[in-house]
Amino acid sequence: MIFASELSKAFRTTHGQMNQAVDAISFTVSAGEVYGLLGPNGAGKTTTLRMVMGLLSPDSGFATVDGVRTDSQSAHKNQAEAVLSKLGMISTNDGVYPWLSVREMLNYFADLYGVPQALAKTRLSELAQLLDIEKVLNQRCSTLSTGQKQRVTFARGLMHDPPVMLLDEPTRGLDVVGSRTVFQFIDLLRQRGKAILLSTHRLDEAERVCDRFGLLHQGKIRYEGTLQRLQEATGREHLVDMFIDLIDQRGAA
Amino acid sequence: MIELVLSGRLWRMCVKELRETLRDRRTIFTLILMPLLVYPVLSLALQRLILNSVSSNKSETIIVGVSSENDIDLLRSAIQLSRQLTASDSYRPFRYQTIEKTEATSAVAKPTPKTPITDWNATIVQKPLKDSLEAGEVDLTVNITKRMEYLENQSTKSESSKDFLFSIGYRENDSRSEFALSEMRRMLQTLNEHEASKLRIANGLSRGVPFEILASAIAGESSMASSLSSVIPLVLVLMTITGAVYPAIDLTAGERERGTMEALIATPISRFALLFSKYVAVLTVAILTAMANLIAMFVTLRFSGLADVLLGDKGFSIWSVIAVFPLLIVFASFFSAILLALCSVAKSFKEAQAYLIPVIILSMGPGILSLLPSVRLTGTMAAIPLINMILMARECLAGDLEIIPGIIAVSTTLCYAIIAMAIASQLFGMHAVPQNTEVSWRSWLRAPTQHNRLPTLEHLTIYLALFFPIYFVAIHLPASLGEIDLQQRVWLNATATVLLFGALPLLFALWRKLSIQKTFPVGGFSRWWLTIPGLLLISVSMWTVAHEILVLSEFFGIASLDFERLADLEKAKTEFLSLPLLAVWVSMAIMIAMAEEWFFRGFVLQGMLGRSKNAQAAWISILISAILFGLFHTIAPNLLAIERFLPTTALGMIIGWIAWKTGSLVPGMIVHAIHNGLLFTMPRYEDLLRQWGLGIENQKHLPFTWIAGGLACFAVGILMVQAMTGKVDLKNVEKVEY
Repeated sequence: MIFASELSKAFRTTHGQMNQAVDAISFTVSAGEVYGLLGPNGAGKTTTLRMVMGLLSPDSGFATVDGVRTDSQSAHKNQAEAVLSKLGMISTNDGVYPWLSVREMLNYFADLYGVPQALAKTRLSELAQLLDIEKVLNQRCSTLSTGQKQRVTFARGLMHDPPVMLLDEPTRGLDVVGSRTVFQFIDLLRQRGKAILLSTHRLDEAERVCDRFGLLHQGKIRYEGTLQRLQEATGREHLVDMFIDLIDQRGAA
Repeated sequence: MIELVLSGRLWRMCVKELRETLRDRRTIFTLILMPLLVYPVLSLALQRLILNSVSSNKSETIIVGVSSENDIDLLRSAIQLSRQLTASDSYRPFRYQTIEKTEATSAVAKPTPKTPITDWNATIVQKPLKDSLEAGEVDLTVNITKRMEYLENQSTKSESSKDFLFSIGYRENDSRSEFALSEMRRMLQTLNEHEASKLRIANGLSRGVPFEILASAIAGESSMASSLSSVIPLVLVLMTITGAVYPAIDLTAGERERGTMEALIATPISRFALLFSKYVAVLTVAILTAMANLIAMFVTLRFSGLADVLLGDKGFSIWSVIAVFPLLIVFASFFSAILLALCSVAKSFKEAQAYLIPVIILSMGPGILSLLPSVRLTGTMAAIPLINMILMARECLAGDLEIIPGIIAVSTTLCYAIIAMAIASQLFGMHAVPQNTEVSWRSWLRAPTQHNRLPTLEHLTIYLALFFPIYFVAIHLPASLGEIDLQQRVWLNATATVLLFGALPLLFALWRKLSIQKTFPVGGFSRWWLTIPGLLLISVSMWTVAHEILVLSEFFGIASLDFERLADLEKAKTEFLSLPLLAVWVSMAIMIAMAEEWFFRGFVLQGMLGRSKNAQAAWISILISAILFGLFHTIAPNLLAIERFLPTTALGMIIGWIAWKTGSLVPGMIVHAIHNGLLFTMPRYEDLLRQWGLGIENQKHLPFTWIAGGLACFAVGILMVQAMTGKVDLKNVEKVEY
């Protein structure tokens, strides 16, 4: 479903120097698979996700979803729209509309994705049940707690039932119970055959939920594969140790 | 976009934005509370101000200039008598000070003005009375004529039996002088009333009153009150801005700050549609604010009595309010777009405010400029944003709005709104993704990444919106240059046309990295040895077609020429005939034809043709370019030459078709130039033409033989071009969507 080829992106820092945020990253994610993009802060996870999403245009390389490139510049307009409809992105940075009720906000996004109103209604009640936000549907978003907001954001990203999900740190700011709910939900999404690209630093949970991993450091994928392959390559049993090794390498270099 | 409109999604998007905005307390604050607070406070301040200025006027003595001792004596006795008559009345210096609420209605009642005891100082002026009045040495001049003398001098009979005629001179718009006049009127009125009642008692019958007033004004400098009346539009406009500011920031920078922008941009809705829904919301709030302000202002002015002072005799009618409202809508549509463009760049609320404050302060500048009474809504002023709307609102309130500058002001303002929206749609959502360093204001101006394209609809819209105001100022420029002879004017016109229609589109195309060869195809065309005779046939016969359409449009009443204008044209024609024929051909036929073809059949048509997938689409493109061609030709200095629309559009269709068939601008240039040249040559052989039965100055049909011959020639020419160029290969058409 997702195919990233040699994605690169550099940003200019405030001092005018170029900072290579992502450096020739390639990976694939198939349907029903959860791919964990792991790495320390500033490793380039979010930038990668945004390039896959088409929100950022890569300096070089490209990403495709279902064989169609996601950078709008080169894609045909109709195709670009079709690709965007297949993608759902959920990020910790996502906010809510304080003056709208949860229901109004979710319906608004369903409408933006062209979901017919009747279908949106069924999906809304289904998602509300799954994510336990039924009680807050008629509340203004400004009154929600952090955990509720996060679940509303999840529902927002799923209103158009996209086959491909990009999850950027979906558990940041959540307590242990909240995180566990989120990962259970990701598991559910996988069972429904969605291709999921997940960036997180909840390594324990990632270990459990992800099928394959890409260990990102300083814009490059250092290790890639299943947990077993990573264990073989690094000689470490847990992701946490592999992670610390990575950071130490940076310290040594 | 069309699909969005049809499915009602765009409507629901707008409703969401509006709902979000109107639920916010801060919007409601500027929308309702501000007008409720501002106007009463403002009116109190104004009342104080006017009161001070008028009472300071009256603390001094009114100086009346007269020309003879006799007049002084008469005036003095009149003053004394009136004083005796009104001595019992209390002195009320200014009626606005005496506004009281009557208990019964609790409405503000206007008290009947009482005669104040004013100090009059009559002096004999040595120079002519009018000069002294103009110099401001006196507040009023009085020349008293005994009725009998006056009647003898005028040798007219009058029913009136008044004994004295007071010819009073005063300065118009000068509050002091006008006040003096009203005092003088009041005084004489008192005497008249007294005299009349006395006479009634004595004789039991009514006779005329002794004093008659003949007031004549000279133009004076504007008083404070009249400049205050210009404040009203300025305040309305500024308040409308305040209403739009908050929603504009909240729906753009606020969206980013809340973290909803990224999700929004990730949806398959175009950024323009997203922005448009926000625009509708901002505009609605701005219009609601304008409405709230207008009502608050109307009510305040009406019931405080300030309306009469500020707006003179006409007062402040509900009609003037209704007339100003559409203006505020036009202004709001312009400023909402500007605000959205500015806020689209901002990353946060703070940043947006930092951008907006200088803009609002800057917009105060032209606003204050428009307070000057000498600044009027004319050609150039009508094209300057903000000023034009304030001036228009002012003239609307004063009831002396002229139609043409009004149309210009509205159309240019809407043009600016389109430009601002076009820019805003480019900038909107650019900062959706944080730490993205690639975006800034400059990115819109930066060279585009795609090269060698044909102009898109977006290019065309932006260009036209930028171009129209420039074009507009340019065609009014010769009038402001003063007297220049016809030859110079003709060359100036040709040069300006070449610059505007030739150089400017070329520069734009170079800037946007458009394909010059494809946008302006000036290459040769196939089988020229047979195409050229066809073109020549078309060019020499096309005027008959144009003429008949002109006569027809005249018949259907589509004409704006009045007799005065026709007389001007007649004069211009005579002058025009004195120019050398070669100069006329080069300047008015060849140069203009080349420039106009370059723009209308090049820049405008080629982009649309290049994207036409079939012949039908190509025809629509040709029609659009022809209509544009026709519209541009209706714009003449200070009038709309509507009668030119149909013939010019028809010519645009013909030449557009030629450009499409031949794939080059050159044939169109040839046809256009010969056609123009013939039109300018024909008046020189008027006698000969008349012999042939062609009275070209009369708007009547050509003789049948001429129509038939012309049409035959034209048809043969078209067939030759059609046959020689063959079918246009649509397979090579660029497959690009708008």
